[in-house]
Amino acid sequence: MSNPGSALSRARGLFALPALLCLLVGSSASAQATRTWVSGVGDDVNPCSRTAPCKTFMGALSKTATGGEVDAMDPGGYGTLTITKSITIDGGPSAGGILYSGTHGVVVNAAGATVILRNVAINGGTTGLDAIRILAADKVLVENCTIQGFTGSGINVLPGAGAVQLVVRNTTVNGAVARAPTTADETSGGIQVASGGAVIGNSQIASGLIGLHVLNGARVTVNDTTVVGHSGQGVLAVGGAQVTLERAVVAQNGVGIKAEAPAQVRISDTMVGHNTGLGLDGPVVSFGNNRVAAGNGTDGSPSTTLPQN
Amino acid sequence: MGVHLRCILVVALCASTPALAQATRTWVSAVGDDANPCSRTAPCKTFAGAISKTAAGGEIDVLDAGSFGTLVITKAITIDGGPAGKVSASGIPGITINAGPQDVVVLRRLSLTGSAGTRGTTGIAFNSGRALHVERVQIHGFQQDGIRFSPEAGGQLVLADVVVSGNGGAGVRVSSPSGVASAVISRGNLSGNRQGLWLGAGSVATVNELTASDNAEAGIWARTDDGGKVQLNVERARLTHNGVGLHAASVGSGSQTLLRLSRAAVDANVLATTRLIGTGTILSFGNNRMAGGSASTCPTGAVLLEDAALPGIARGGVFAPVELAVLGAMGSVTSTVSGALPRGFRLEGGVFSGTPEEGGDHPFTVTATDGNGCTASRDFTLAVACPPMTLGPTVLAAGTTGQVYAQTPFVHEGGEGTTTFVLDGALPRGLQLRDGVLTGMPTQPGTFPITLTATDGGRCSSSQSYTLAVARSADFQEATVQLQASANPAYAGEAVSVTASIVGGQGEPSGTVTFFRGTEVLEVVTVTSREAKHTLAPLAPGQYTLSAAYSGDTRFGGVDAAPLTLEVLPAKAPVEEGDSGCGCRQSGAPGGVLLTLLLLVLNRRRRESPTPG
Repeated sequence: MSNPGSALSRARGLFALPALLCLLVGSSASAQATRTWVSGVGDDVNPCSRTAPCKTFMGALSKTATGGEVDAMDPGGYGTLTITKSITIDGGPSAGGILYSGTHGVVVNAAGATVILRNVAINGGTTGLDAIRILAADKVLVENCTIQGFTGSGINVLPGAGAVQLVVRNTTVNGAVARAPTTADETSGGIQVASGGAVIGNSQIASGLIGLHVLNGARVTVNDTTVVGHSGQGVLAVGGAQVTLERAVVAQNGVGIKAEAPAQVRISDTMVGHNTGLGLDGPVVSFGNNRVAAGNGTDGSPSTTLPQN
Repeated sequence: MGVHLRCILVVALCASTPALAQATRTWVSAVGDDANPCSRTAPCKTFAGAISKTAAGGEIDVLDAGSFGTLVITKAITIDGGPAGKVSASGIPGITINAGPQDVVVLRRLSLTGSAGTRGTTGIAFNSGRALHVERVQIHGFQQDGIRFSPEAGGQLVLADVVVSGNGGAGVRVSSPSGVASAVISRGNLSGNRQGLWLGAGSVATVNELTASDNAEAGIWARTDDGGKVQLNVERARLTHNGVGLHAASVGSGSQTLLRLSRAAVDANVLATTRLIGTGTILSFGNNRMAGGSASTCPTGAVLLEDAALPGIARGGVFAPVELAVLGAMGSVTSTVSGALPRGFRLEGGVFSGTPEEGGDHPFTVTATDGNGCTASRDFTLAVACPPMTLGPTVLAAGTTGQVYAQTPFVHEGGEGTTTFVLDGALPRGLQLRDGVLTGMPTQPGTFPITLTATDGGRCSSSQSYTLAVARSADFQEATVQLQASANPAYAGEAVSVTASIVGGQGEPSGTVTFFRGTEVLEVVTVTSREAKHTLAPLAPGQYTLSAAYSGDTRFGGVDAAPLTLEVLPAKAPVEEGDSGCGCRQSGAPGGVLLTLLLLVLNRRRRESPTPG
């Protein structure tokens, strides 16, 4: 939910508030806290303390020290944010999170930084662009998040993001309203990794156009994850991408797993079934312990079968 | 003062916005009020109150612990219950989704209960829409299904971290009457329902990490009829303590139920690991833990044919189909029948059906063979009741020797097709049953008890017992028949004739003599001058029993001749060919003796030669 009143409020507060408030505002401006708080009933003129919480993640971010943490106290809509430094955002157990429209949800542009998004529901509300867009970072951790309602990509690591390491755990990515790209800048992967590396575990990527899209020289490891119901490919590796799947289920997509050489996908203990087209397409290497004869339009076969040792 | 003013201004702004246009995010609270704008600070009290104030594609969030009422969803929406959002339903569904064809509905972190007293009917009923995502939701205690996903035109169901338990129907039911219902369950627990996962026609389901336990009927239950298709892939599941682990039924032409199983533990289920009906198929990737047979071994009892009662049926009635279920089988089952099924009744695709056209008890044995080659047999009996039938007349008129018997047709009513009459007991000589009519002239006095059985074209019969009295006419004369052969013994190739002579009584007997060899009728010869003669065809060496029966006529009684044993010796050697056969035989004999001696000597030598070391 946008909060158009906040900037105005702060400006007014600076000039109009009594001395006590001025002191508080002054202190937060002079020294950032390592932990700040947001609340559904907070106010961004506040210092974002436990007793005087802020209203938005963005409002709290400026009052939080690099490497610090922004925690949600209670249910609330905390708005979109652009992250430019190391930070942890924890949405806590309550409902709410980030509901955005027409823009990107979370933009990470923090070269060298570690960014952690935990317990955050990010909902593009059927018009939002990317849910998490990573332009630069050292590490980005996405844990216990739900990502949905985006028209672009759920998590998008851009080609220029450098050697970023993305970790996704216990997260659902629901791409049901993703749209086919119309320009070169647009993407439509549930998780799209065009740079660096990613580890995806215990997650589900569902209902979009492409489930996991890995490009350029990116390296992605996936374990215990369901990739399901994409009209295009469940997993698509192109360029020099290297993808490894362990204990995954890739099902009900147009194509199950597709690699375009020199990109390569390795699969182990994985089921590829009920994809309407090919199950395996291109250089997909098996360790001989997968289930592919599982009702695909055409099962396809691995390009190579490697021994286990 | 300024603070207050600002607050009022902000509240007024927030409050006025939703009234003008629907908000993308609304809030419900246990202490809210549906008259509110459903904002964070002025929340509504129910989901139903909030949804009308929420824009399509927006989100309703739960502010604090509470039960927010049942809901009908007709647009794209996300509902997040937070840590303690609940829906309880009484007598109606918890959440009903009748959304547009492009609408995506997300239900997250909700606890749905069928409430005490009159329980809710269904937890989540999805009737239309593009997709339903259900995440971290618990559903418990509904009369029928926990989740019923049955969109007419198909759709997508995505479940993650759901627990559906204690419902009277299925935990999760998936089918589509005319489209394809795709379903995914990641990390589900469907326990204590009637069936855990229920799949009907039009469903394609994929399971990754499922526990289905204590479901009364089956952990996974799949069925198609009449051309429908069900497909399920299971990766990592525990199916335990259910009625059966997996039930796969496919009945009717073109139907397909195909379950594939990988990394599943199917154990400790009450009846069996699997139950296959019709062409239902369960394929294993060979990495499951389950009792029963495998491609390499079929332990005793690995496969069982479930008992099925075949209800008795009236002949010509349509048999209500009975499905044959095979427990513990893998792959698909083929069944064969040994023993005769009544015409019109069949076992096809594992289903007994048809219209039996033959009456009586029909015992047969069915042998089922599963995909691993494991077999099971069971005996069945189908009792087909005959229609009521009558056989008349009930009493036969008396006859008199030498007088033509009044033709008596037997009438068999109530049967179908051609009736066959079978007589038990001896008729008086001269009378016969031909095409259901008792006809002829009796030439044998006495009383003759007979039983007539009439069987129709469908093996149904009725019987009637009679006593036929034949009075002796005043001019009745006893006769005897003597049988003589022209030569006895005779030689093979010789022409031999037998003559029957009618002896006794006054006058010239007429009628016929029937000659028999054993029971074979050789010839019927008219009696002339008290004799009848039959020339036998050339006979091979051996003994032949010949007999003759005199039919009698209007005055003479019919009677059988004492049988004659005719001995036929090998043919005499033709005399014209010079040297007597005797000489040949005698000259041949010493040669044979010599040959025998020579062989004996050779044999002995062989025995004496040293055995090679």
